[in-house]
Amino acid sequence: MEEGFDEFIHVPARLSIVALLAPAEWVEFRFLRETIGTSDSALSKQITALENAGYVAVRKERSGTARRTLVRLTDHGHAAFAAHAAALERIVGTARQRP
Amino acid sequence: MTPEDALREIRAREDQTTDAALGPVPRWYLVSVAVLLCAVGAVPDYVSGCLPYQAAGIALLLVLSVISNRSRTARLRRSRYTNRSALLVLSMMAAMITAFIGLYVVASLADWSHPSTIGAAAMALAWVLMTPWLNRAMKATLRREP
Repeated sequence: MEEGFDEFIHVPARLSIVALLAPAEWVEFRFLRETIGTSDSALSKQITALENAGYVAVRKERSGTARRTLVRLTDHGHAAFAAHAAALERIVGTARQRP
Repeated sequence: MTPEDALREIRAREDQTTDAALGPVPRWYLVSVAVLLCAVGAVPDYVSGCLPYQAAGIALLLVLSVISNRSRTARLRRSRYTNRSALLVLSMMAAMITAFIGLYVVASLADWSHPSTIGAAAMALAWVLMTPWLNRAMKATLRREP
């Protein structure tokens, strides 16, 4: 297995979430749900799994009468994602070099 | 999922977040800032000792940007912004200031009344016209997929 390759992140549902979070300081839960096109419960399940692994942090915020849930990658999550993306690049690069 | 598919997925998803974080600029924000810029720039034509009014206008501008930021569904990390994106913002600010000073000087030299108002209107117009451009240019700069 390529160094840095993270099987936990590589699961398609989680990879999409982590890739959406990677460039952001934070994103709204609603944005994740609408962009991925999944249900609240399915997304919550994945977010909880990522939270338990220490990859994401969740914060609830109240502004006026509205409440919103913000999700962000932790430093640990960022490092794992960067290592995973780098491992993918290396795998693809190596495959392209083969005759 | 193959590594190639995974990389493609990562880039596409990152671009979706970039798009969400950068725009589009809400119309109410575009118009409110234009009106405020006009008011802040034009005050010297109508009031003596205008500094408190201008300070209040600038404070209101800051409040508007905070409200506008809060309505966004995502915020990009600072590390995502490049030198090129900073240059784009500086170019737009320079264009707005140039429009203000240019028109102000022309109006003063031509002895027109209300030179500050004319300059401020030009600055507000530059804001309205250039903001959508800045938005597109920033997205193009920060997107990962060609």
